[in-house]
Amino acid sequence: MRVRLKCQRVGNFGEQNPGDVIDISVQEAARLVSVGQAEYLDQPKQVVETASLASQLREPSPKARVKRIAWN
Amino acid sequence: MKVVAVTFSKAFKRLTDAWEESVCRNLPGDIEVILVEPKEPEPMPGLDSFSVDNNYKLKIWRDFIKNSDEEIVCMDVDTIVLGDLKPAFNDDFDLAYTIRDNPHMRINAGVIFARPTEKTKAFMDRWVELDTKILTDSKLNEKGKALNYGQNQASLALLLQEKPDIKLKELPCEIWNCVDQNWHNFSEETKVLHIKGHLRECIITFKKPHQFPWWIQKAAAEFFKYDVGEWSELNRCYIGAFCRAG
Repeated sequence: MRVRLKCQRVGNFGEQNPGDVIDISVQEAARLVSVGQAEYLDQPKQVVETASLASQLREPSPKARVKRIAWN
Repeated sequence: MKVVAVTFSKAFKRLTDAWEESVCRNLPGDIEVILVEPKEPEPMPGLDSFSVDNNYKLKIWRDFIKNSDEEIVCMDVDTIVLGDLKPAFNDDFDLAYTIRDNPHMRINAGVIFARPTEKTKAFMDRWVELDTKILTDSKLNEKGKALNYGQNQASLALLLQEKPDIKLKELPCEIWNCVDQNWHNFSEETKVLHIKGHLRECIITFKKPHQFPWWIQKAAAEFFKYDVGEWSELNRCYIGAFCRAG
């Protein structure tokens, strides 16, 4: 699912200016909105709920751990 | 499933740390992840360290595959893991490698996916054999590099010409091993970002990369999300530079 966002600050690798509208995935949208870089244009409530669900689904736990092995 | 990477160069410490951070953040906990830290290979007279190091790394990959009883991903440590690698094994193959749209460097062997079948083990033995041979056989080296530039890639290209008895699969670099030539296609589908070229040089030498075109900045920004430890202060400065760059 993709949504439209209106940028509030310069960001996203410097490509957007405040006021620009970008088309973006729900997950990335949730991240940009949470740090105040953008605001939702489309159906905010549904989008926020979907994004929240998506972020929960993206958090499998526990995470991988790296085992370091010396080698001769 | 198991993931194996090899690191032995101090110059790669920053890249290794970022790889480790990305693995911890983005791979599920049921995947066994091993970082092999051998002594640096002895320099060999007349041979460049790039080739010797890569040959040594390939031997370690071969040993892990031969001793594994489960699916295994062998990957270069100058990569960032962005998503679960298990779906690569949804296809039926003994060994999978990644390809890009470039006739002279079609294969990038920085990430391979293997099922430890007898055919895979025999394939790895032959790959190591050819890889070792091209270190000193300049004619064969030249032939291999004409097929596909690089050390492990040249020997793999030579091996593929022998039509080995194995079920191989070619996976797209843009998803499974996003090298510099694919950075403009870098997307949410990308599972592995391979830090190459000028960006890698900048990371190792601490040169500021904000003069790069947008697709390199995009890859750099992804790397800096995982740049950790003693570099974190510098990391913040870099990210600031990206936000200001237009």
